[in-house]
Amino acid sequence: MRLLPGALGILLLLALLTWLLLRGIDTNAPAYAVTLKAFDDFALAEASLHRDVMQARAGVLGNYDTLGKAVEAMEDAVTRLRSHAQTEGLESGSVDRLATTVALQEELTERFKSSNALLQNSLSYVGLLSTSPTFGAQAKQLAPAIGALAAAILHLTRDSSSDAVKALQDRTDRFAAQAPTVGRHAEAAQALLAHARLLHDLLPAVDETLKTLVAVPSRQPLEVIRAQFSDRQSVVEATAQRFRLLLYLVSLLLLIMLASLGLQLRARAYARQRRAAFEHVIAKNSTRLINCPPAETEARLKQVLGEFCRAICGERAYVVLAENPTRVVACSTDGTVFRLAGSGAGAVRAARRSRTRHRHRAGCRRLAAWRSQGRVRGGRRTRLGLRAADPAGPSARHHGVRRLSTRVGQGFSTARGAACR
Amino acid sequence: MSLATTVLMAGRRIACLLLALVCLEAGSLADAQSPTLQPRAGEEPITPIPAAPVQDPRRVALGEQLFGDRRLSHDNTRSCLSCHDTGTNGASANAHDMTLEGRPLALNTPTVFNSALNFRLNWEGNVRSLEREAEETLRKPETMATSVDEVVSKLRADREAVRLFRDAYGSEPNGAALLDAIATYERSLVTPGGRFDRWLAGDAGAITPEELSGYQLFKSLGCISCHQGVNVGGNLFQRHGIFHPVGSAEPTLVRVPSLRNVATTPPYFHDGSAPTLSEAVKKMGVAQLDRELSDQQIAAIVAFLNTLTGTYRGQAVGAATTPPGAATVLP
Repeated sequence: MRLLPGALGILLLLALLTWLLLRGIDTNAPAYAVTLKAFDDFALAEASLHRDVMQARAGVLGNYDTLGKAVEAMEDAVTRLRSHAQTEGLESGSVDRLATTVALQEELTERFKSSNALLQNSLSYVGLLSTSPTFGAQAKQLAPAIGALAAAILHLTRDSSSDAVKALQDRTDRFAAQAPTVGRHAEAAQALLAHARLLHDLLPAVDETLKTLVAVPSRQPLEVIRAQFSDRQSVVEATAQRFRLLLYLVSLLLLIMLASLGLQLRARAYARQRRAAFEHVIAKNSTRLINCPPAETEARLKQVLGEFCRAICGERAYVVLAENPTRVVACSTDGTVFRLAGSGAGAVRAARRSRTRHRHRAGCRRLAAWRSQGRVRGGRRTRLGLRAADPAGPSARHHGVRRLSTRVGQGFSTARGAACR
Repeated sequence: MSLATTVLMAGRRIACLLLALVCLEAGSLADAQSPTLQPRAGEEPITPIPAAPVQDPRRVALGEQLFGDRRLSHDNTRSCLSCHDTGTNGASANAHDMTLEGRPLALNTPTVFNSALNFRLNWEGNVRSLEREAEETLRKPETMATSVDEVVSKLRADREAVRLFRDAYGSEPNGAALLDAIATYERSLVTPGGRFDRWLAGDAGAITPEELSGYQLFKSLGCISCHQGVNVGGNLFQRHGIFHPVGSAEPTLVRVPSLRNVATTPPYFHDGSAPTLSEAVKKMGVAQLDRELSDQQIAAIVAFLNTLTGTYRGQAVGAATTPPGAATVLP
């Protein structure tokens, strides 16, 4: 049960990191690539359609299958774009406009195919009649009119202006005036006239259809749709980027927390080491004091105090013995002899004053030494307290409780001292 | 003759020559004068029929079974096969098949073979997909007079049909699966392997010189303007009776019919008014080209059209000899 909060915290943290990661990598890239392909397909199909209608008009397109496929491809691309727009929650008005332009292009393409088939058919027929000896003996007579008619048709195939149309009308009328109406050549002459008149109407109409088809404004709605998808993608990418940044910040925070925990762990380990060493000193000196003959008590006590001083890096130590009169046993690590004047409560107060007086200097020195050893950073405070035990004790031994508080850097360790006698 | 007249004449001759060059591009007139035309893969206006698309054979089989299932009509009297005999030419020998009430349909029944290669379906070209065509045929009072839902309910009552649908679609009969199965089967009804396709593929001996001459004539006369592509037609709309009327006036605009297997699908035209291919060619010459074709030209073109007959399941497509089902031939 003690691990439950920790486990829950880790699970929550994992969920948070996973969520941030997923949102961070979710740039909608595959869907956007598919959308871009639909744009490419549309543009390719439209370009193919325009190329093929031009070729068909020039008479170099083999068949109209490619036109139908191009229109189908455009419709398919629009369908896909509509689907993607719905998926992305985009406004579909532009897709509708694009679909309308495709429908218009399809209608114009069908009109063009039908007209162009007749056009090519009639051109073929006029070419056949104007270059074959269909008119027999009359050919020489009719040749100028036929040639003029053919020239006018040829001119109209390249220029469907009103002047060219009028020129063809004139030549057609001139040929009609000369063409035989009876006899075995009449049929061919009338057929030539019929095709010429058909071309007179068809050529400008086909060219007009062609111009309209090529000029269908599909670019504008296409650009609008492209901009919509592009904007949407920018939003998605910006969101993903924000999540990636958030993920980075959370990761950074976790790293800082981890480092902090590591430092705390290290400080605690160090404190435990010191405590263990101090416990060892206490145990050793306790044994030493227990086995001490009464006559050697003071000397042994000084020795013990000296070891305590070294263990806690102190400079001086003292013990106030609850005797009558009160006696103070003191020692220093540097061998300096100091004595505390007075007796009883006065000695205790003197000891406290001495402690206060030396505490700052000693602390500063220890701190400098520890800093040079790299053991601490920041400030340190040592407090040494001593309290006389029950003076009425049968063994007249002195018990003390000492509290040592050490703050090292941001860490804090507390060692509770043991009894000594 | 003055110099100006001479220059004018020369100019007109040049114009004739240039126009002829334009027509060379459009109709390959020069090809008509070359009896030894070699097939140029990809350069002819007609392209070979591709092999049938790879589809789920279970769906094709189910579609074939449905195609001959009389439960697809309201009164269980006719199936798709009644008018589209896939054992012969994919259509019937009738000028007009009959409605359920016994009245003649308005238009001649086009063949179902290679219909998947048409850009639109029906004479009027008002249907874009085989699924939609199947649905319309089921719905129309003059054909099946039923509905998809009614057919589905009939099929759901048949354990064998349910099993077949489960095998093919993983579910009980439903409207989408029904239409898809029929369309899938129809997509398999292609007839590759015709002699002309073999010639296109490079087999110079696949067609005779007369047939090749007919092809040249077909192109030079301008027939190729409408009848081109993989289905030799079926990829554009055209008015009929450009110069002279042909058949009934309605509809004025028709989807150009495919000429694949045309030799096996008499009678011809949207109203079935041409009983033979020769007559159809002759009438088309007058109506669309304003030209009275000679018997020799007609024979050559018919010879070429005969090479467009393909094969289905290894057998050459043949003409429907007897009116199948409840259909009849109108006078």
